[in-house]
Amino acid sequence: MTEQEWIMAAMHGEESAISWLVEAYQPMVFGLCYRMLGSPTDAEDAAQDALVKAVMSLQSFDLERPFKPWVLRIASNLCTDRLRRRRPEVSLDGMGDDGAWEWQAGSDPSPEQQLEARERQKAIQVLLETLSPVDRLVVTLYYWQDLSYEEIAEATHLSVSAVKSRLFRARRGMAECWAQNQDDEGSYCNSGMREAHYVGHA
Amino acid sequence: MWDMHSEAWWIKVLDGDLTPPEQALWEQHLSECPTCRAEWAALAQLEMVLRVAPVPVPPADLAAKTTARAVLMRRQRRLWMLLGISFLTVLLGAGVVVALGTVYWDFNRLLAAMVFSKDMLLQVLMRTLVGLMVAGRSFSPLVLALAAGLLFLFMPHGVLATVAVVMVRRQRGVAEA
Ligand SMILES: [Zn+2]
Repeated sequence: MTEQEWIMAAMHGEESAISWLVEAYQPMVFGLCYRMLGSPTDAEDAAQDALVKAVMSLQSFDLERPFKPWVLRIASNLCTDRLRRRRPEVSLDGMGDDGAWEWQAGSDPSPEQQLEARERQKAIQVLLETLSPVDRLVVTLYYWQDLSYEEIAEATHLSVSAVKSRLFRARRGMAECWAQNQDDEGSYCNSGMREAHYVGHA
Repeated sequence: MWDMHSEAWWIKVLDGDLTPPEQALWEQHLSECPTCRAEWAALAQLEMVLRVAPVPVPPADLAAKTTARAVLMRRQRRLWMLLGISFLTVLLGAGVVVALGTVYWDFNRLLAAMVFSKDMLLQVLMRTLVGLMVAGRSFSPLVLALAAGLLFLFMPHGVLATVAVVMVRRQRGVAEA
């Protein structure tokens, strides 16, 4: 069965097709929610809500178009909404400590590898936390969902040039932050959803 | 000419959209401009950090939980839709019954008034019917036609008008006034 056929079957409420869609798209939706929300528990919750919402609104999906950007847009909207409703204090310390997230590469990683992966994950979340919800979304869709500029624009309701610009500024901000963190170990650069700085050092 | 300190130029560079001559110019600029060099190095490092980031994997039971919830919610929505449709159908049906009751009531009255009085018409038809049945012709076409005629003319009176009794009475009151 092709993906289109699965989607059509799911539109008609076939349980096996709904299950197929969820299985196929849950990992990427969860990945997006995790990067956006920074906590495995929140990500689990949001991923579930996003996919249920997608299944419930399948009737509005255009079969001629790719499914991935459509479902990621639903998840994106949900995550940005949640981020906006969230209070500014975001606990980075508690992040990832409930052990609900694993890593994909290799089977059965050693405790050291797990710890290292967790540290890396945490460092990346620290970088993402410095961005505004929209910038965080753009970065997430670009780096980990492999969407094109056009698809990102559609998912974020921005123009392609705005996506490029936001992505660049976010990259610069994060690069600066990363370099700063490498210089003086342990001190995270000023976080809290700031917009990335403008380039020009002319 | 490109301004190599502009955002547009950097986006172009990061997208790998430079022509060979532009690439050469850029490399030359990098060797001459320490600020750009530092920024370029920082961006390259960030790129590496982000590209090798571990992929978060959802808990194993999440898909099953999600599917179960989605299926349940779809069923609930279907149920509500069916209930809504049933309710509307009943409402529409009741409206039709009331309308028919009213129309047939008038039709009967008109017919009865034109031929005999209504009661006489009923009596005559009933007597004929009973007579035919007593004569042992219960299923002859004539008997069936008479029975059908009786039902047609007086059924609304009995059954349908009971459903729409208020409306029928009001109608009668209006007609007699
Ligand atoms: Zn320069």
